[in-house]
Parts: sequence; structure tokens; C-alpha cells
Amino acid sequence: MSYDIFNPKVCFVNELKSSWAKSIKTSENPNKLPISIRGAETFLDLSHNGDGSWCAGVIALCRDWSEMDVGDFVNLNFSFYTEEDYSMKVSLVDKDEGESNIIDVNRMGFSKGDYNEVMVPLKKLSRGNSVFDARQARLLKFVLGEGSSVLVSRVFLD
Amino acid sequence: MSFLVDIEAWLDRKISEVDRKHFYLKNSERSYERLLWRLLYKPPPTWRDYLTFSDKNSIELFKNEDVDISKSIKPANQVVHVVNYLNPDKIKNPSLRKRTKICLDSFDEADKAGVQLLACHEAKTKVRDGWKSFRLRRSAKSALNGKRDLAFLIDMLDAACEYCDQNDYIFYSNLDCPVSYNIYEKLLNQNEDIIQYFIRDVDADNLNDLFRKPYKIKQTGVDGFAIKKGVYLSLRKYLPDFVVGEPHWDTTYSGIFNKFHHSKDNTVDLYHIHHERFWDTKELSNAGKHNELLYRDAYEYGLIDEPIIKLKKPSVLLMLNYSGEKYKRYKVERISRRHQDYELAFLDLIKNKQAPTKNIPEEVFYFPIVGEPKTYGLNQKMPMMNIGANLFLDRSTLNFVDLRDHKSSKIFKTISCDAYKKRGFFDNFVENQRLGDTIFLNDEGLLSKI
Repeated sequence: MSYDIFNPKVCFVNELKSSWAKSIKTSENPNKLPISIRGAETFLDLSHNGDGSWCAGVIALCRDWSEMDVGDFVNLNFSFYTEEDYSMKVSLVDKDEGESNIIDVNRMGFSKGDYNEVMVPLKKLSRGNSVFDARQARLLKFVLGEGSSVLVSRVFLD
Repeated sequence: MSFLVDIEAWLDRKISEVDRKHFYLKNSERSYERLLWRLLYKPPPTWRDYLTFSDKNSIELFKNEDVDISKSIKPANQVVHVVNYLNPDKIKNPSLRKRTKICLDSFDEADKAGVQLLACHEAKTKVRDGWKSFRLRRSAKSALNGKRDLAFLIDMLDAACEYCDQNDYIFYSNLDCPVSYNIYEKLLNQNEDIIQYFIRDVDADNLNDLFRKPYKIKQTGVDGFAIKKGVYLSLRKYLPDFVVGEPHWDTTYSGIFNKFHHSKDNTVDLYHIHHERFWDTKELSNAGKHNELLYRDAYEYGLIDEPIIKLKKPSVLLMLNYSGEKYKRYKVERISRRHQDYELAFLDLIKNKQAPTKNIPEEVFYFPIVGEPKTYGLNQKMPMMNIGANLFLDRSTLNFVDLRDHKSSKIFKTISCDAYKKRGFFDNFVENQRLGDTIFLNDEGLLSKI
């Protein structure tokens, strides 16, 4: 069983409607995550626009921003590519804004210049966390450090 | 041989150019010019209607190595009509059983020259005579752990592909939608790439009643479509893997047809026996959830531009009340019932402190037009015709009915939008000539005394 959060087979839009962006480089709506297509792959383009010392991209798990139970899934998966030094953290947020444990992707040892496939066990996100309710998860949040520029694709739960 | 083909193509192009030059005759107000159009310039019905053709993305679309465009634009020789077949005797719900029986009876009755009926089902099922049985490899039951063995639409369309050529039609319709007697004949006598069928919803117990009784056209959903096989193969890469019998496949397919190609609407040949329909979006089945995710992704990623279907009928019927009629709702309902194939609009001239008419049928666009003392007593027929015409200039034909003629529902004026645009407007003053220079057209478009 898998659930696609952002994993389009074809895409004809430049930004993700069910998203929110903060200090991300955009060409259209400054509050929506831009989409870029490279070859056959569709990416969310998370690049810091220089405002402040961090930027964030949030994706709604459901297109209508409603909550969903992620308790039956085992892993959060996504791929990313970057050519620069980067700093990236990922977490889930529930409908009451309760945030899961934050996973520091840099600590997982992925290098720049490679297409990296990340698998985060959902247990790792909720273990020992009394604030986050996995049965009512609503958002997936990426926080990037100053100057980071990352292309994210194939985001899904399985 | 190729030289002869080139000559033929050149001649076709020349004939098309001449036809196009004389297209204005089609909607001329002079009857002899319309006759000339019909006799000399009107293209044969099997030709693609190039005059209204708007092929948005065909070059991109047909960049598909498996599709031979020269084959798929030829008129179709046959129709493969595919359904998710149910044996009515095995259906527990009495209403659905009856409706399915009537639907299958309509296939028996229809003229089926050049038609193959393909019954798709996953479980072993006995099919009626005249149907070819096709066992599917999966259904919502086996693939999505659903309760019902509903078919995946793509599987049925792929199955139909095995039985036809690229220029032939694949026709899918829901199994509770009876077909008209001559649906296939009409389909084969034209050469559109895609036709979407909007149902006529009828309160009926049998086929005779179904085709005879008053109907309502369901404007917010498509219950069937016919698509040339070549066009289907070109679009296939965009079509999500929907299950039929659950919401959203129609909205998404319709949106994709219109975004990446073009389609014609048909509101006359597919029927539906009225019953209460209710999609509970909070208690969706597994197949329903599956469809909903696909639909939301299609909208999110721009496969479709609109989240809903809205039938845009080319001809508009404008009902006018400019003479203070009473029982307006009743009269509007009466006229509407007789003219369901038109886009319906009601322009209602009301006095300054008068309330707009309530409970107008929801399929009717209601435009209350508020007069003032200086507009009273003047004949506002022409001004209201102009107001109405300008609201629907994006359609093909404008038709006008006076609410006073509700018994006969007689259309007193028909004009094509092109002819109206060329003409500019109806003469606002013609009905009020005796008042001469003492009247003018006010900002609301009504005649007013100085």
C-alpha cells in the first residue's frame, strides 16, 4: 500500500496548489511551491530566496488540506537532488499544529551532486513525541538553511 | 499512386477553401442563401466540421508513434460499445435490476449495423445474445479490496481496442443508461473525434415511456462517450486509472478531452431512468477513495483545468417577460420542459419595488431586470432581446420566446450569434416610433422617457 504526496506522472502546472512556501524563490505566487520539470521527472524546487536565514516548504498530505491517518504506513519516502551544500530538515504536522520529531537529512549522509533516495521510518517521526498525532497528520514540512537549493521529487508514504 | 493521392488531397483543400468562403450563407437571413449553402457548399456529414474545429493540441497529441493520424481522421466503419456488464438476474437491488434490464433492452432494440457490443466483467457472467463476453483481469474487488467488482475504465477501453481500427469508435456508457434507437447510425454519420453524452433523465418504467416522457438533461456529468481509437491511444498516457460506478471519472476524462483535444456534446441519445442518486463523499468505498485521489491529482497537476463539468449548450432560449406577466414561475417551467436541449435563460422585467421571481428551475439562468417609472409603459421587447443576446454571444444561436406564449412555447425569433454580431443590435426604437425623440436607451439597456 502506498500513498502519493507529490509524485505526478505528468504535470502541466508551475506551482503546487496544495502547498505553502516561505522565503522560497518563486516566479508566480510567492506562497506556493514552484514545480520544475527536468526530463521525465517532476520536482518541487525548494531554493532559498535570500530572505532571512532559512526557508520552508509545506505540502498538504490531502489536496483539500484535511487530515489523514498515517498510522498504517511504515515509511515516508522522497528523493532529492542538490548541487550545493545544503541543510534540510523534514517533519510532519498534525491538524492541531502538533509537530512530529524533526529529522535532520544532513545527518543521514547524503551527498550533493547525487540523486538521493530518502526513506524515513514513520516511527522515527513519532517515537516519544506526545504532541504529534499520526492519526490526524495534515502537513509535510521541509525546512532548509540559508542558501540551500534542493529539488525534491517522488514524495510518498508506503 | 502517390501522385494521385496528392492530387486528391489538393482538390480536397481547394473544395474546403471554397466552402469556407461561403460559410456565411449557412446562417444568412435570406432563405435562398441558406438553400445555396445546403445545396452547394455544405460539407458531407461524415466530414470533420472544420468550420467549428478548434484543435488545441493536436500536433502534440498525435506525436504518438503508435497512432497513424491519416488513418484515425477517416470516417469510422464501426462502433465497439463497451460496458461493465452486469447480469440483471443477479442484481439484488430491485430498482437497479429494473433499470439495468431496461438498458439492456434498449441495446436489443437499437439499430446495430456496424456495431459490436462488448460485455466486460471480471467474474464469470452470462451475457445476453448479441453481446461478446470479455473477462477482465482485475476489478475494484480484486485490485482495491472493494465490495463490488467494478471495472477499471482503461481496461474496458483497451479491450475495445482489440476489436477495431484506429478510425473506429470506442463507445463507453454506464449500464443504467439506455440508448436511443438510432444512436449508432448518428455516430457513424459524422466524423468527430470525441463525443460526450449527457443523459436525459426521465421518470419511466419501460422503454416506451422513456423515449416519450418529459426529460431533464443532466448538465453536470457525462455518462458515456465515444472516442476514435486513434485519439484514445494518443490521449491514453494522460487518462488516470479510474473505476467506473464511482464519482469523478467523468469530470476528469471530460476535462482531459477538452484540454488536450476537443469534443462535441450530445444531449439526445443517452437516457437515464430517474432515481435518487447520492454520492456520500464522507463514506467513500475503497474504489471511491481511489477515484477521488486520482481526480484531485488530475486537478492539482493541471491535467484538468476545471474541477466540475458544465454542459455548454450551443443554442440559447431566452424567455422574455416585458409585459408584467403573472404566474411567471409556472410559465417558465412549462416552456423549459419543452426546450431542454437549449441553454435556458429568463429575462424578467420587474418594477422598481417588485421582488424577483422565486423558485425558478435551477437549470434556468434567471436575470431580473429592474425598471423604473420612466421605463414603464414603453415596449421593452427589443431592448430586452438585445440585453439577452449580449449575455450569450459566445454561443451559436439565440432563440427568443415571449412568456405570454407559454402554451405554445413558440419561438418568435431565431438568429445565429454571428449574424447578430454582424447586425450589431435589434432596433430598440422600432416598437416605440410614435414616441420619436422623447425616449432614449438608459444605462441598464432599457428604453426610458426623457
